[in-house]
Amino acid sequence: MEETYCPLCGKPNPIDNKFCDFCLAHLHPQEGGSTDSEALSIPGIEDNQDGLGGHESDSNVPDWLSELQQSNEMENEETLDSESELGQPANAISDWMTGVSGDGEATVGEVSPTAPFLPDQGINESQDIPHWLNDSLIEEEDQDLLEDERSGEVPLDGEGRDVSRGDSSSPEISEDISSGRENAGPLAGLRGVLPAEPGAARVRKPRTYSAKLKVSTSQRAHIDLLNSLLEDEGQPQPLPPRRSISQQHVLRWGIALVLLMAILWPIVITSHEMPFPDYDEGSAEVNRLISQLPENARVLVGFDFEPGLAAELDTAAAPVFDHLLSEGALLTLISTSPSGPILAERFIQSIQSDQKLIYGLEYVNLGYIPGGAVGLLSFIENPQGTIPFTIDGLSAWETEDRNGLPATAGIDQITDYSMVILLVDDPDTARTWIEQLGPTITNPQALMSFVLITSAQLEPVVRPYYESSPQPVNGLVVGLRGGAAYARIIGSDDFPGRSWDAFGMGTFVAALLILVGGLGYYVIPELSRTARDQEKVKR
Amino acid sequence: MRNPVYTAIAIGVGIVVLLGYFLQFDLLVNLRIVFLEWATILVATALLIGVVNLFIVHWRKSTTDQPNRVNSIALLAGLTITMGVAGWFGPTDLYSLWIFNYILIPIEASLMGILSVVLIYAGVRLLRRKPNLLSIVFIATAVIILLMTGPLFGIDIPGLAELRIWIGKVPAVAGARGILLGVSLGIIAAGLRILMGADRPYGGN
Amino acid sequence: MNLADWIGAFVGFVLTLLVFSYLIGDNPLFRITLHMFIGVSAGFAAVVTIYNIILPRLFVPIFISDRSEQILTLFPLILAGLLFTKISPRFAFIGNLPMSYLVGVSAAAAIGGAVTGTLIPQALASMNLFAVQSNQAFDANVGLRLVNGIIILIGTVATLAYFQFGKLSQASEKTQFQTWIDGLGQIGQVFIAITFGFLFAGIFSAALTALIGRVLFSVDFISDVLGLFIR
Repeated sequence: MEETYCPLCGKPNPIDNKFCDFCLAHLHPQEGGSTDSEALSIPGIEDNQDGLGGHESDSNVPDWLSELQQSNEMENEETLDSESELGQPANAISDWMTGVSGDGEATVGEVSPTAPFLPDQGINESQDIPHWLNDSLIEEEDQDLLEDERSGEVPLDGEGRDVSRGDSSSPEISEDISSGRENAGPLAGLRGVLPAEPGAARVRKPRTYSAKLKVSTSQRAHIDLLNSLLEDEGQPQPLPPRRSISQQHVLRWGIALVLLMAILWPIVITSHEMPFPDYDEGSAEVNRLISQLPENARVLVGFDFEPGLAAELDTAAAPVFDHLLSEGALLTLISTSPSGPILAERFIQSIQSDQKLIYGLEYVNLGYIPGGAVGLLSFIENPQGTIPFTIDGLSAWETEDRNGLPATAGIDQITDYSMVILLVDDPDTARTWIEQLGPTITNPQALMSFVLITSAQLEPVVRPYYESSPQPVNGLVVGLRGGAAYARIIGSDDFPGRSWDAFGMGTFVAALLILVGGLGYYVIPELSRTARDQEKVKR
Repeated sequence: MRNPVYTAIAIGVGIVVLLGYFLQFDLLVNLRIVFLEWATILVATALLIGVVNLFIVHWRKSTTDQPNRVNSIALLAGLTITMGVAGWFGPTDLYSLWIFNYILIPIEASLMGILSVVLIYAGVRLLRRKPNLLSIVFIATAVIILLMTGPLFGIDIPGLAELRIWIGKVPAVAGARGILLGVSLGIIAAGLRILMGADRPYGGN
Repeated sequence: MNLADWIGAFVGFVLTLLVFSYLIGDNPLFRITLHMFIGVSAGFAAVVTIYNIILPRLFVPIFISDRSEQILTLFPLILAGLLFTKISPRFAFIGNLPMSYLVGVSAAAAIGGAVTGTLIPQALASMNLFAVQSNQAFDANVGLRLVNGIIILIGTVATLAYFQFGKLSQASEKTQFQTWIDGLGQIGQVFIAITFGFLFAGIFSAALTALIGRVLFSVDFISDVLGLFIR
């Protein structure tokens, strides 16, 4: 007995039945006018029999379904149009078909809204699908993958792992929906139940697009190489074995040894043999100026040198102060360096064995003037206001309400001093003194002289001032040589002969080392290079 | 922090002090004297602040666990002992002089002594590193001056002593005078920039 | 020598050796000695400043002077107090006020000194090289003096040209003026080399004297110690 299936409940009925025995629905679509029951008849089978057509039955389709159909048809037409524009045959595998097949079974249902009403052996059975369509069912990503494999490319994740498999979700639809069986609610278990919402048939997991980097094998090789290089860079490399004693070390030790031996030799072994300099113009000028000082002349002495050069400046200044104090000068000690007052005190104590100086009566230590040029300018402008007390806290100057010290009695301004002597080792300090005091010294009305006892390193810097006309610097005793020359001028025997001998030997050896060593250091490598070049030419 | 008051102060006091070099009005002279005296006090304060800062920095270093903390402890020991002794007895007292004579001077003079070895070493290597005319002129000058600064065993090389004097009075003076003029021009330019408010090293810009 | 001097000489001798150990190579003992030196120097500077300036100039007038002097001292006292805020990074901006004052005064003093102490006198000195009166030109060495004067003048101008116009000569296309200045700068370099050679010898002489001082001190100390034992 032939049977037909109810389009509503899907149950078999005898083919002669007009209505379904189970749900009383029309088993065959009615011809002609429309009734209430016609509203329930759905042209599913006929539509599907002619493929995707069924336009002649549009009038029987409800609005919501016809809209759905129209939208699908529009999409299909657009696809066909676009394919035609590309010049491809219309019967070739087109995108819309690929899209249908690419979306799998769910897409079939999408294309034909009547699919849920079809029996299980509907169009989704693979044997009904031609092989060309079956090929197109291969997922798009799988095709990409095949292409990649053919071209030797492997998709990699950020860490370079192969991620070609199992990480992309393919669109699926639940088996219940594709088979048209309701799985929830009061109609659970029934087949062919129209979904409450047509879009429900499209439910699928959103397509995931892989953000993985695709690199070729050659690029992969480069990545590996770069990684290995970077790893090597990060690793601490063992330093090349450093030579504990280099050529420079040996040279430095050699120089130190030779220099020390040269200094020690006259100190330890020999007695004083080196002659003092015959004549030194700057020292002679200082000697002349001191000799011309009046009785009990006030002399301002600046101690502006570092303790490290005390040996040089103390030695150079000693004969000058011997002469100065023998002339009965009264000293005012001052400094623009914090260590200056202590150096001044130390120096005075060192010459105390010969000259019994009484503090306050014959000398006074005013201490430290801060501020360099500012402090010095302030002192030149206003000595009493700038340093009112000595370093010991005594009132330095005689004022209306205070008694001063005899050594500074009669001093109201800087020009009341007969002479300014500066012991200095620093070019900037010397320049500051000369610049601030120079205009006062060169003033013809000021009867004051300015002499320098300097370290040897200052001679080129202060000599332009001494060689000027008018002279801001009137006399110059430079280093050990100047001190020795001064000692010779005044006929002093106190100048340390051991230091002078060692100095003579040291300067001679230094000149010799620089000359011979420098030439040797330059010539020997040049000669050896020339010899190597000649050997190469011979070969 | 931008503050025109700071700039105005710097320019104002600077102009008063600078004009005092050239003009001798009583008011200007007195004002200048007062400004200079205050400045010397401020410089002394700044020096004291520097010492306090040095103490703070090395105190922090010495109290944290780091490899060079011994150096900081040595510095703090030197600083506190000196300040204690010199501050209590006075900076020119015998105890203070003991520290000065037997600690400060030996160290600094020894450092200067090392410099002599380093200078010879540099002189020896100069021709190797820069073999040109200027290096030869430099070395030749240095050798002549060195030989004739010392007594040279009483040996009189004809013309060498005169050459040393001539170098000191003519070419060296010429070079040094050029350098001094250049330095003074630089100082004037830098100072004028401050007095015009173009440079504000006190945080006025 | 008393005991304090003996101890001092020993300490000085040891410190000298520690510093000289740098000649063998940099070492921790040398660095410790160096830091101690910095500490002692800073300590002396602080004490001298307090004794010489801070106490007598900043605090004593507040207590023992008359009213006008007290008021006058108040200004630097306040400025000094503001300057102390420089220690704290948070309040350091307050210290900009006294700093601006200091910078203004220092700049003016530096300009004034440079103009009246170096620029004008040295420029005059260069001009006066050929002044017959000042050179006592009627003596026998007049020719030599003039030659020396010309050399000094050329050297001064050339050195100045080397320093002052060194930047201009970097331009790709040189004008005739720049070419002249460059040529002059080349001559100036020779004078600078001579001056620096002189300076080098001077610095070496100063350093050598310091070395001799330390060697003398050490030799005297060792001989004194040996003298104690031999005696």
